[in-house]
Amino acid sequence: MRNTILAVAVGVGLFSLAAVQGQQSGSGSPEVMALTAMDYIQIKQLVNRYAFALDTGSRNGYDYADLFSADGVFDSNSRGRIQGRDQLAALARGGKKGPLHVNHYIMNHIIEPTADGAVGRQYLINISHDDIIPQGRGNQPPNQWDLVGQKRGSLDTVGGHYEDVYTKTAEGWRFRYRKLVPSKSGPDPTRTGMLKMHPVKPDRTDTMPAVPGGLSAMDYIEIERLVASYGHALDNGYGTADNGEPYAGLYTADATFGQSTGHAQLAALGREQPQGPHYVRHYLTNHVIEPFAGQAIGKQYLVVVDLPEPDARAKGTPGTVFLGGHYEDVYQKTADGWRIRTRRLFRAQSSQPAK
Amino acid sequence: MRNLSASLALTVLVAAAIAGAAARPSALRAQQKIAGGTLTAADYIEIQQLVARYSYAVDTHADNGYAYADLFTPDGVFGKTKGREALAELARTTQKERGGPDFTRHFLTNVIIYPTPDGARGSQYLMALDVSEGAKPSSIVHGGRYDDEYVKTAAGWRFKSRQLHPARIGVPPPTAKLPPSSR
Repeated sequence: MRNTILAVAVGVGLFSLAAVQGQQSGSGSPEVMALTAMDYIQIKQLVNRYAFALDTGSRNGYDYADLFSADGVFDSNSRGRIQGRDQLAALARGGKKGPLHVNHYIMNHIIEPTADGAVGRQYLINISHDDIIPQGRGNQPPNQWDLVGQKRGSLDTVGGHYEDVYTKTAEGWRFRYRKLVPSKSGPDPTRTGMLKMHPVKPDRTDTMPAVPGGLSAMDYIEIERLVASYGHALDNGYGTADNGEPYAGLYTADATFGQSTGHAQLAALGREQPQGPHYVRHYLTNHVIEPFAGQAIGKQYLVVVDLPEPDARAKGTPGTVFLGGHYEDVYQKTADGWRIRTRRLFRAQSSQPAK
Repeated sequence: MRNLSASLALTVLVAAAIAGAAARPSALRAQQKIAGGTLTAADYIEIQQLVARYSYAVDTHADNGYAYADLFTPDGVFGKTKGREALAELARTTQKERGGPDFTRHFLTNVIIYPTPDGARGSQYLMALDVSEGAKPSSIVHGGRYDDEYVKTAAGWRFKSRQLHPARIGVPPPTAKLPPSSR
């Protein structure tokens, strides 16, 4: 069955594969692999590593190549079909790269179990960031409210969705097939674009690490939520008027972010930021989490976006990209749950021009 | 330690405020401490998967809009739209001439989920994009925050209610002397 599926994917394309799998899941086949919460988490972590590996070209491109199984394929209209570890590494080495380069913002990850693994999809938008330092008015140092709306980046023409086939190897979940499909308008009644939802299989390791010093599924979920809370706390205080305490509440009492250390300074830092009960500005994605010395570390992409408010939207005014980069974090498990112990923002930069 | 105690005391106050606000579905106050309810790891993943499917359902118009409607309970609400037929109609007519299996517009992130005594609540950020279909640059059309209530049905987790709050900046206090940011 595995070879049959692969042959179909290679020979006819993923569309046919999806149809085959649709029939399998549609028939209620008992052979669909039941995925645990940790399976979903590890598949999500695989995808979250993708952007870092591709945008930085780290380890000479082999961090990217090693996200694929030995027979794994990346497929796109612009580059065609790329297979083989060295070929995939070469793909990740090309173009703008470097440890601070961020470009691929991936969201909306859906996963469906199959007979021998899983399939999945996500949305992609590529965002390019300028190396412009924010400027205040005249000789005054800038305050953050004055800077809202300054344009320091733009959306690329590349955007659409990925269609994936995942396989569980001895090293963990890997891409067996990944295809980028550009966004396109218009119906196609033969395709649905949806994947079926399945119940997640409970597992005894959901709340306890499977290995000493590791993270349980619930640890990952809580750390994901901690970082997903960042924008909500900082921009709108979870829909309240004041963001200072909610923002500082994301951190341990002795935490450091940038030049601010401790609860009082972090709350003050939050309060100086533009905010309102329905303000949204900080979009974080591609969150990579790893166990580290009994605690955890992580990194994720940031794009700060100034959205058109309803009256501006009515006039067709687009939103602007204010800031981009990535955060690197250390997380600590406290009596109240996971908190950020240290956090650093690295603004987006390209260390070499595209040649 | 003093800061920690202060923060704990505040958290308790906020939790009490949330309990008071729980009767108002539109006022999600998804703080760290919503009293009552527990979710398993499987529940969190299933709700995450429900939320992620929302974008595909609305953008693809799959199953003539019913794929979208079926993410909700039979009496589910999005904004002022309630019930399966009305929700399917909404999905069919959103971006009517453009939706399709390869159409991507609703980008969601910052997905937070909290247990409640009745199920769960959560929020995400939306970035609605006009993604390039050729040489034209992509653009950011609008955005905001979704506030949701979820319930577990026999078929799995579903949206009971979903509300989109368009992005609006607040107004700084007129006397505020805002310090320059270190970032």
